[in-house]
Amino acid sequence: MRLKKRELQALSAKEALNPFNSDIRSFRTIFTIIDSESMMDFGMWLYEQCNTKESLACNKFDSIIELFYKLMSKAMKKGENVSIIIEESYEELYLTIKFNEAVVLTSDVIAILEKYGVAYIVQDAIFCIRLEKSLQAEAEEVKVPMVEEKVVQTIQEVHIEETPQMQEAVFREVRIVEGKEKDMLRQSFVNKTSAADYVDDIGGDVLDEILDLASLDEQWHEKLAIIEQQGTKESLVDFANNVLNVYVRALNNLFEFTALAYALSSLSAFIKDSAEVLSQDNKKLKTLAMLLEHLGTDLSSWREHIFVLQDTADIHYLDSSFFSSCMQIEGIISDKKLDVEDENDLEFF
Amino acid sequence: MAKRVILVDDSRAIVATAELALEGIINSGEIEFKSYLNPMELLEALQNGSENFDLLISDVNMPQLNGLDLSRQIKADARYATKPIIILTTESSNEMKMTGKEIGVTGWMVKPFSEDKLVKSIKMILGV
Repeated sequence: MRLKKRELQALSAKEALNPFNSDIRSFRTIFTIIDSESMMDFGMWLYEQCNTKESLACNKFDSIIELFYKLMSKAMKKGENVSIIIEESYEELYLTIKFNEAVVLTSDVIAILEKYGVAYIVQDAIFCIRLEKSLQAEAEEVKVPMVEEKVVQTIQEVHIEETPQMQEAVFREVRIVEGKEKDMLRQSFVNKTSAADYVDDIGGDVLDEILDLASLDEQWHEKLAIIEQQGTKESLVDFANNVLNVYVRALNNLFEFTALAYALSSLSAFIKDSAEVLSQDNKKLKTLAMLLEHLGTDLSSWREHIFVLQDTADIHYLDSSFFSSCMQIEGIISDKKLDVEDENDLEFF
Repeated sequence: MAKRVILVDDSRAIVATAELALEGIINSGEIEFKSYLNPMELLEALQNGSENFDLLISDVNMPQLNGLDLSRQIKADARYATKPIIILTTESSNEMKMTGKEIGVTGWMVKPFSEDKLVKSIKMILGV
């Protein structure tokens, strides 16, 4: 009865800041953005919202982060302090950025808004986006392009004769890649950011922390050598905690590389969970050490290209590939077949 | 005679996992396997005739040269125009696939790959 009565009342006596809806709930969340760390706080808050509630437009998480990061970076470059004010109704969420000066949307920002179909309003010094809280409502809007169906039909026409060995392989346990993991794997960025522009934008303290990771390279090799020769549960957990998780902490300071941090964090969790079993299997220990050695080289090469040489035109060139490598390693070591929601088939053209 | 399969991918981890996946058909002598981390090196070797292949598997996002541009250049060379190329990538957008189709690549496979399906596809394309 109370709920019924409440439906008839205005939700808030406060004046709404967002231009979408004045009927908002009686609380606001406000972020004051003064440096890269406060930008990260907003990113982490949004990330936690996605993890803790099965609501919010998590399917647009990456695009929102990319969008807000671009807008805030531009303002910070001009020495402006901005605020992000989050207001809610029961059905929607309104994220408003309040700048010091009138907002002018650049073509890269407009491209993101158009690509992801984000509802937005610009009013003088205010930029606001509206998000549905229900994922289902957004999912209904997604249209499957015709070409996708055509490709699937082509696959079904392909007949492959299976040998007994292949049939045996079919019965391996399957590790399905779906939901958030699949989104991270398949995320794409509308506009490519060069390493030079990116490093120019991030704070010196964050850059120092990333550059300090070079000192981890030696530990990476040393600890793997121990695992390869005489791996124990303790040495595996030590590698996960004192090498992989150090990387995770440093990468978590950077909005743009949440996918890399997530990939390493998942791999670390997998190694710790499997440490007991792995420590009793010498062959697997050697394979794991060999694969992690290669992964370490990929990571250190990425760090070099982005933060030291700054010579790549796309800072995200490694993201999905790295995440995929981590999953591939997990699949090999755990003897599980990887299944990315039926995307693993070869599509013939 | 073993068929020559080349993988080009800038990730050492991917090359290593693919080699593990193909271990069976490499050891049985059905295929011989070679990998390149830099697509420019492969292109140069193909152009000067020091390299050849029966099947090329290529990543898309590589710092030195995009895998689709690599495929386009290889397909433009009469010596390799009819040779099969598979794209192995995390990219799965229809736009990208359409570009691959226009270039004339044989097929598209997404990462992380299923080891069994990679082996099956290679065996089917090469008839081994």
